[in-house]
Amino acid sequence: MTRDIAPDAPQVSAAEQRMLTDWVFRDRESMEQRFGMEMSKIIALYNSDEGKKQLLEQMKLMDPSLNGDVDHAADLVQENIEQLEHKKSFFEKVMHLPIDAAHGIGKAGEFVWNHKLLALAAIGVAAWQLPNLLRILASIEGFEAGGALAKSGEYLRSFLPFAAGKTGVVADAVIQPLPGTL
Amino acid sequence: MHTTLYLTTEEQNMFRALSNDLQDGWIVQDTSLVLEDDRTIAVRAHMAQFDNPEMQKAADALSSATKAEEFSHIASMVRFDAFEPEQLAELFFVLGVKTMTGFIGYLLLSASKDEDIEAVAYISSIRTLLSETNSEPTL
Repeated sequence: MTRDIAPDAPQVSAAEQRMLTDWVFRDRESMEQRFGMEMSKIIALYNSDEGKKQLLEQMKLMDPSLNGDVDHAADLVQENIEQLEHKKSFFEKVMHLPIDAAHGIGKAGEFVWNHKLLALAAIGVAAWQLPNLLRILASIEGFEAGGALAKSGEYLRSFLPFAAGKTGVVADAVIQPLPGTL
Repeated sequence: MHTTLYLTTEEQNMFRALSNDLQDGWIVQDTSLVLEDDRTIAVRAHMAQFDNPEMQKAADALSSATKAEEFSHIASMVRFDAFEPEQLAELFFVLGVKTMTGFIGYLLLSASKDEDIEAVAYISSIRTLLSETNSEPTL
Protein backbone atom coordinates (compact mmCIF):
# COMPACT_ATOMS: atom_id res chain seq x y z
CA MET A 1 0.00 0.00 0.00
CA THR A 2 1.29 3.42 -0.85
CA ARG A 3 0.18 6.76 0.48
CA ASP A 4 0.34 10.05 -1.35
CA ILE A 5 1.91 12.84 0.61
CA ALA A 6 -0.80 15.34 1.40
CA PRO A 7 -0.30 18.87 0.05
CA ASP A 8 0.64 21.42 2.65
CA ALA A 9 1.33 25.12 2.82
CA PRO A 10 5.00 26.05 2.42
CA GLN A 11 6.64 26.91 5.74
CA VAL A 12 8.91 29.57 4.28
CA SER A 13 7.47 32.22 1.95
CA ALA A 14 9.07 32.88 -1.43
CA ALA A 15 10.09 36.37 -0.27
CA GLU A 16 11.71 34.99 2.88
CA GLN A 17 13.50 32.31 0.86
CA ARG A 18 14.89 34.92 -1.54
CA MET A 19 16.11 36.94 1.44
CA LEU A 20 17.88 33.88 2.89
CA THR A 21 19.50 33.06 -0.44
CA ASP A 22 20.66 36.62 -1.14
CA TRP A 23 21.66 37.83 2.33
CA VAL A 24 23.11 34.86 4.20
CA PHE A 25 26.82 34.35 3.61
CA ARG A 26 28.63 31.06 4.06
CA ASP A 27 31.71 32.52 5.64
CA ARG A 28 33.38 35.70 6.77
CA GLU A 29 35.27 36.08 3.48
CA SER A 30 32.20 36.03 1.24
CA MET A 31 30.45 38.57 3.49
CA GLU A 32 33.48 40.87 3.48
CA GLN A 33 33.74 40.56 -0.29
CA ARG A 34 30.07 41.49 -0.80
CA PHE A 35 30.19 44.49 1.57
CA GLY A 36 33.67 45.58 0.53
CA MET A 37 34.86 45.86 4.12
CA GLU A 38 36.12 43.68 6.94
CA MET A 39 33.57 42.03 9.22
CA SER A 40 34.88 43.98 12.21
CA LYS A 41 33.90 47.17 10.35
CA ILE A 42 30.41 45.79 9.61
CA ILE A 43 29.98 44.92 13.30
CA ALA A 44 31.15 48.40 14.29
CA LEU A 45 28.53 49.93 11.98
CA TYR A 46 25.80 47.82 13.60
CA ASN A 47 26.75 49.15 17.01
CA SER A 48 25.78 52.79 16.38
CA ASP A 49 22.60 54.35 15.03
CA GLU A 50 24.53 56.42 12.51
CA GLY A 51 26.58 53.39 11.44
CA LYS A 52 23.51 51.24 10.99
CA LYS A 53 21.89 53.95 8.87
CA GLN A 54 25.02 53.99 6.69
CA LEU A 55 24.90 50.19 6.39
CA LEU A 56 21.24 50.22 5.35
CA GLU A 57 21.99 52.83 2.67
CA GLN A 58 24.81 50.67 1.36
CA MET A 59 22.59 47.59 1.25
CA LYS A 60 19.97 49.50 -0.73
CA LEU A 61 22.66 50.47 -3.23
CA MET A 62 23.85 46.85 -3.39
CA ASP A 63 20.33 45.60 -4.07
CA PRO A 64 17.80 48.26 -5.12
CA SER A 65 15.04 45.61 -5.19
CA LEU A 66 15.17 45.45 -1.37
CA ASN A 67 12.92 48.51 -1.10
CA GLY A 68 11.02 48.23 2.18
CA ASP A 69 12.75 44.99 3.13
CA VAL A 70 16.14 46.52 3.88
CA ASP A 71 15.60 46.42 7.67
CA HIS A 72 14.71 42.74 7.40
CA ALA A 73 17.83 42.06 5.32
CA ALA A 74 19.96 43.95 7.85
CA ASP A 75 18.51 41.84 10.68
CA LEU A 76 19.35 38.72 8.70
CA VAL A 77 22.95 39.85 8.13
CA GLN A 78 23.26 40.58 11.85
CA GLU A 79 22.00 37.08 12.66
CA ASN A 80 24.43 35.72 10.04
CA ILE A 81 27.36 37.45 11.78
CA GLU A 82 26.28 36.03 15.15
CA GLN A 83 26.02 32.53 13.72
CA LEU A 84 29.42 32.77 12.02
CA GLU A 85 30.86 33.54 15.46
CA HIS A 86 28.90 30.72 17.08
CA LYS A 87 29.97 28.29 14.39
CA LYS A 88 33.63 29.15 14.95
CA SER A 89 33.21 28.69 18.70
CA PHE A 90 31.36 25.37 18.33
CA PHE A 91 33.95 23.98 15.90
CA GLU A 92 36.75 24.93 18.29
CA LYS A 93 34.98 23.09 21.11
CA VAL A 94 34.38 19.96 19.01
CA MET A 95 37.81 19.87 17.40
CA HIS A 96 39.66 20.39 20.68
CA LEU A 97 37.91 17.61 22.55
CA PRO A 98 40.15 14.92 24.06
CA ILE A 99 40.67 11.96 21.72
CA ASP A 100 38.00 9.79 23.37
CA ALA A 101 35.45 12.57 23.31
CA ALA A 102 36.30 13.50 19.71
CA HIS A 103 35.54 9.89 18.79
CA GLY A 104 32.02 10.66 20.04
CA ILE A 105 31.06 12.90 17.15
CA GLY A 106 31.86 10.05 14.76
CA LYS A 107 29.73 7.70 16.86
CA ALA A 108 26.89 10.25 16.79
CA GLY A 109 27.11 10.26 12.98
CA GLU A 110 26.86 6.45 12.97
CA PHE A 111 23.77 6.54 15.15
CA VAL A 112 22.08 9.10 12.89
CA TRP A 113 22.84 6.81 9.95
CA ASN A 114 21.46 3.79 11.82
CA HIS A 115 18.09 5.46 12.53
CA LYS A 116 16.58 6.20 9.16
CA LEU A 117 14.06 8.72 10.44
CA LEU A 118 16.86 10.70 12.07
CA ALA A 119 18.91 10.50 8.86
CA LEU A 120 15.94 11.75 6.86
CA ALA A 121 15.38 14.63 9.30
CA ALA A 122 19.11 15.51 9.16
CA ILE A 123 19.01 15.64 5.37
CA GLY A 124 15.80 17.66 5.36
CA VAL A 125 17.06 20.33 7.77
CA ALA A 126 20.66 20.50 6.52
CA ALA A 127 19.62 20.68 2.87
CA TRP A 128 16.69 22.97 3.73
CA GLN A 129 13.96 20.77 2.32
CA LEU A 130 11.52 21.37 5.14
CA PRO A 131 8.12 21.39 3.45
CA ASN A 132 8.57 17.93 1.96
CA LEU A 133 10.30 16.60 5.07
CA LEU A 134 7.41 17.71 7.27
CA ARG A 135 4.88 16.28 4.82
CA ILE A 136 6.67 12.91 4.70
CA LEU A 137 6.90 12.72 8.48
CA ALA A 138 3.21 13.61 8.86
CA SER A 139 2.35 10.99 6.28
CA ILE A 140 4.38 8.30 8.10
CA GLU A 141 2.59 9.18 11.32
CA GLY A 142 -0.74 8.72 9.57
CA PHE A 143 0.42 5.46 8.01
CA GLU A 144 1.61 4.09 11.35
CA ALA A 145 -1.14 5.65 13.45
CA GLY A 146 -0.83 4.57 17.07
CA GLY A 147 2.47 2.75 16.55
CA ALA A 148 5.84 3.43 18.11
CA LEU A 149 7.20 5.03 14.97
CA ALA A 150 4.25 7.40 14.70
CA LYS A 151 4.49 8.60 18.30
CA SER A 152 8.22 9.05 18.47
CA GLY A 153 8.20 10.47 14.93
CA GLU A 154 5.55 13.01 15.96
CA TYR A 155 7.75 14.08 18.85
CA LEU A 156 10.73 14.47 16.52
CA ARG A 157 8.67 16.44 13.99
CA SER A 158 7.49 18.87 16.65
CA PHE A 159 11.11 19.99 17.14
CA LEU A 160 11.85 20.65 13.47
CA PRO A 161 11.97 24.22 12.17
CA PHE A 162 8.62 25.60 11.09
CA ALA A 163 6.71 22.52 12.26
CA ALA A 164 3.15 23.38 13.09
CA GLY A 165 1.95 23.06 16.67
CA LYS A 166 3.65 23.15 20.01
CA THR A 167 7.19 21.83 20.38
CA GLY A 168 7.30 18.56 22.29
CA VAL A 169 3.52 18.54 22.54
CA VAL A 170 3.10 14.77 22.58
CA ALA A 171 5.68 14.10 25.26
CA ASP A 172 3.34 13.72 28.23
CA ALA A 173 1.10 11.33 26.35
CA VAL A 174 3.82 8.98 25.24
CA ILE A 175 6.21 8.77 28.19
CA GLN A 176 6.17 5.01 28.30
CA PRO A 177 8.24 2.30 26.69
CA LEU A 178 7.24 1.58 23.13
CA PRO A 179 8.11 -1.62 21.31
CA GLY A 180 9.92 -1.53 18.02
CA THR A 181 11.82 1.13 16.19
CA LEU A 182 13.21 1.66 12.72
CA MET B 1 32.34 4.83 25.59
CA HIS B 2 30.27 7.69 26.96
CA THR B 3 28.18 6.62 29.95
CA THR B 4 26.69 10.00 30.85
CA LEU B 5 23.35 11.18 29.54
CA TYR B 6 22.81 14.95 29.64
CA LEU B 7 19.04 15.18 29.90
CA THR B 8 16.38 17.79 30.60
CA THR B 9 13.78 17.07 33.26
CA GLU B 10 11.29 15.98 30.60
CA GLU B 11 13.84 13.63 29.04
CA GLN B 12 14.73 12.20 32.44
CA ASN B 13 11.06 11.25 32.81
CA MET B 14 11.20 9.52 29.43
CA PHE B 15 14.38 7.68 30.47
CA ARG B 16 12.85 6.53 33.78
CA ALA B 17 9.91 5.09 31.88
CA LEU B 18 12.25 2.64 30.12
CA SER B 19 12.81 -0.89 31.35
CA ASN B 20 15.34 -1.41 34.17
CA ASP B 21 17.62 -3.25 31.76
CA LEU B 22 17.81 -0.23 29.48
CA GLN B 23 18.35 2.18 32.39
CA ASP B 24 21.11 0.12 33.94
CA GLY B 25 24.68 1.46 33.77
CA TRP B 26 23.99 5.04 32.70
CA ILE B 27 24.68 8.21 34.65
CA VAL B 28 22.07 10.90 34.20
CA GLN B 29 23.18 14.49 34.49
CA ASP B 30 20.59 17.25 34.61
CA THR B 31 20.90 19.86 31.87
CA SER B 32 19.10 22.98 30.76
CA LEU B 33 19.20 24.07 27.15
CA VAL B 34 19.45 27.22 25.07
CA LEU B 35 17.43 26.44 21.94
CA GLU B 36 17.62 28.28 18.64
CA ASP B 37 14.61 29.89 16.98
CA ASP B 38 13.56 28.83 13.49
CA ARG B 39 15.22 31.78 11.79
CA THR B 40 18.56 30.89 13.34
CA ILE B 41 18.30 27.36 11.98
CA ALA B 42 17.38 28.82 8.57
CA VAL B 43 20.47 31.04 8.62
CA ARG B 44 22.71 28.13 9.67
CA ALA B 45 21.31 25.92 6.89
CA HIS B 46 22.12 28.61 4.32
CA MET B 47 25.64 28.98 5.75
CA ALA B 48 26.32 25.25 5.51
CA GLN B 49 28.96 23.90 3.15
CA PHE B 50 28.35 20.23 2.47
CA ASP B 51 30.72 19.42 -0.34
CA ASN B 52 29.63 15.84 -0.81
CA PRO B 53 27.40 15.21 -3.85
CA GLU B 54 25.35 12.67 -1.85
CA MET B 55 23.72 15.45 0.13
CA GLN B 56 22.64 17.31 -2.99
CA LYS B 57 21.26 14.13 -4.56
CA ALA B 58 19.32 13.35 -1.37
CA ALA B 59 18.01 16.91 -1.23
CA ASP B 60 16.80 16.63 -4.82
CA ALA B 61 15.17 13.28 -4.08
CA LEU B 62 13.46 14.70 -0.99
CA SER B 63 12.21 17.75 -2.85
CA SER B 64 10.56 15.58 -5.49
CA ALA B 65 9.34 12.75 -3.23
CA THR B 66 5.67 11.98 -3.62
CA LYS B 67 5.27 8.81 -1.55
CA ALA B 68 5.95 8.32 2.13
CA GLU B 69 7.57 4.98 1.33
CA GLU B 70 10.43 6.80 -0.39
CA PHE B 71 11.76 8.03 2.93
CA SER B 72 13.89 4.98 3.72
CA HIS B 73 15.65 5.14 0.36
CA ILE B 74 16.30 8.89 0.70
CA ALA B 75 17.54 8.45 4.28
CA SER B 76 20.08 5.90 3.05
CA MET B 77 21.53 8.21 0.41
CA VAL B 78 23.88 10.13 2.73
CA ARG B 79 26.50 8.06 4.57
CA PHE B 80 26.61 10.03 7.83
CA ASP B 81 28.63 7.17 9.30
CA ALA B 82 31.42 8.00 6.85
CA PHE B 83 31.42 11.77 7.47
CA GLU B 84 34.64 13.40 8.64
CA PRO B 85 34.47 15.06 12.10
CA GLU B 86 34.38 18.52 10.48
CA GLN B 87 31.40 17.51 8.33
CA LEU B 88 29.59 16.13 11.38
CA ALA B 89 30.30 19.31 13.32
CA GLU B 90 28.77 21.24 10.42
CA LEU B 91 25.76 18.93 10.41
CA PHE B 92 25.08 19.17 14.16
CA PHE B 93 25.59 22.94 14.09
CA VAL B 94 22.91 23.27 11.41
CA LEU B 95 20.54 20.88 13.17
CA GLY B 96 20.94 22.88 16.34
CA VAL B 97 20.05 22.10 19.91
CA LYS B 98 16.42 22.13 18.86
CA THR B 99 16.56 19.34 16.26
CA MET B 100 18.98 17.32 18.42
CA THR B 101 16.41 17.55 21.22
CA GLY B 102 13.88 16.03 18.82
CA PHE B 103 16.41 13.25 18.06
CA ILE B 104 16.94 12.51 21.75
CA GLY B 105 13.21 12.41 22.47
CA TYR B 106 12.70 10.14 19.47
CA LEU B 107 15.42 7.76 20.68
CA LEU B 108 14.14 7.68 24.27
CA LEU B 109 10.55 7.12 23.20
CA SER B 110 11.44 4.28 20.84
CA ALA B 111 14.42 2.76 22.66
CA SER B 112 14.53 -1.01 22.53
CA LYS B 113 18.23 -1.78 22.93
CA ASP B 114 21.31 -0.45 24.70
CA GLU B 115 22.66 1.09 21.49
CA ASP B 116 19.68 3.48 21.44
CA ILE B 117 20.70 4.82 24.86
CA GLU B 118 24.32 4.96 23.73
CA ALA B 119 23.15 7.17 20.85
CA VAL B 120 21.43 9.43 23.40
CA ALA B 121 24.72 9.67 25.32
CA TYR B 122 26.72 10.78 22.29
CA ILE B 123 24.12 13.15 20.84
CA SER B 124 23.31 14.72 24.23
CA SER B 125 27.02 15.34 24.77
CA ILE B 126 27.31 17.24 21.47
CA ARG B 127 24.04 19.06 22.25
CA THR B 128 25.55 20.32 25.51
CA LEU B 129 28.52 21.83 23.64
CA LEU B 130 26.19 23.57 21.20
CA SER B 131 23.87 24.80 23.94
CA GLU B 132 26.87 26.37 25.68
CA THR B 133 27.79 28.01 22.38
CA ASN B 134 24.25 29.35 21.90
CA SER B 135 24.47 31.14 25.23
CA GLU B 136 27.66 33.01 24.32
CA PRO B 137 27.25 36.72 23.54
CA THR B 138 28.33 37.88 20.10
CA LEU B 139 27.70 41.38 18.68
